[in-house]
Amino acid sequence: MPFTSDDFTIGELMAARISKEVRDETYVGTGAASPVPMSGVLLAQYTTAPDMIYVAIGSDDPALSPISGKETFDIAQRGKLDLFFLGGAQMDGHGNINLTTIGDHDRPDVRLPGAAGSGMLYFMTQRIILFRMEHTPRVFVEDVDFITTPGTSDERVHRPGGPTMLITNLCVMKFLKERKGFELESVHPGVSVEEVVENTGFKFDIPSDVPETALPTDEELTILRSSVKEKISVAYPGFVESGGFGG
Amino acid sequence: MPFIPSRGVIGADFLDLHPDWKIIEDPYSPGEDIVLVPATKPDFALIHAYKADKTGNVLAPGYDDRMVAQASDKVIVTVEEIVDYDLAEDPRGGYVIPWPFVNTVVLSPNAAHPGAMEPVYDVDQNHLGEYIAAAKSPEAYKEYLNKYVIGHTEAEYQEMVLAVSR
Repeated sequence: MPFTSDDFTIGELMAARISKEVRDETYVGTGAASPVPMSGVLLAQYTTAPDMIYVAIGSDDPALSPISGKETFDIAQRGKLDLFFLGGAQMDGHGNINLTTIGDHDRPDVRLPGAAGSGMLYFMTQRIILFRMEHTPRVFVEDVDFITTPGTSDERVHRPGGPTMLITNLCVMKFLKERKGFELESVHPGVSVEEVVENTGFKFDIPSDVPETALPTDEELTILRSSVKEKISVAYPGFVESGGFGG
Repeated sequence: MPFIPSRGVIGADFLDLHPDWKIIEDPYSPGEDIVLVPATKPDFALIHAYKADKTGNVLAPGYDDRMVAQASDKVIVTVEEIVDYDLAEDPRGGYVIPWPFVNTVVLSPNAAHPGAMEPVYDVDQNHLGEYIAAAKSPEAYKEYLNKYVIGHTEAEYQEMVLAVSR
């Protein structure tokens, strides 16, 4: 059955997990429409990564970051962006992302917003976390209809970075570059491995023992529901109003 | 610039759509490939901007408006207003397209409608909704064109759309 809890929301669980990936004294970025990644990054700033520098695309808010989000691309091109988040309307088992068209490119069923810089960011950011709040076979397909940006590249291509992880409302998966595929790392409370398999249109490795994703601690929840919530409510008021944070 | 190199892109389906983008070996990193993207050279540019002055300098929302003007052979700019002062001396509020890159200026307030011209006016969501519904069939689209465009002047169009609240 899907994730349920009275003690914390799915957004809080995922933000807490994301915060573990943020490294101190690095540049970390988020894109548009990313309240949960933003929450995770801000949580890390208040806990384990106080000297991390956050760049939020679409934001010039000094309370959020000392640098305008416009600088994100240049920081990435210099090789200095350590972590960024990407998601697509479709993603496949090789880490390919589709942000372009669903269906035939020349007569699409859906025309999507486009790459928005992900073509370069997926290559030049040291680590990319793939992120979706909707884990369904419609999103996680065997092969994307259009490769907006590929999960891996051959050795003739300059590519210092790429995907390392996938986080969804059901689970966490590691991306293994050598295998060009995913391995299940953990399932969220109440979610079974079978449910992940049913909702994923591509094959991925499943270890014999799949633990539960770590629950957010009381300290993490307190920070998320106070300092982080305050900052998020400026950038994403709708997310806060619709109950993104518990408590 | 005739072309520029770009990171990324190799391995994406974009290359199939753009046979004019070339892959070459990076001369500074032997064994590595890189993509070259040729310059776009428009014959015409149609730009909507904030202001123009009497010399033809234009104050536009973005730096890319200036880039488009510089790249294009003939540049036509519609503006919200024409001002008496020299925009090159007082470029506050936008980016200046210098007069040598502008061929024609047309005073045309609200010309971005139903699109936005931030911060002057926002998107007209209602009208866009009407347009999107009309775009679903050739018959409906013809109706839309007859209602708003064909046989109507700009002034009549503006009267029609401003009469409806955003």
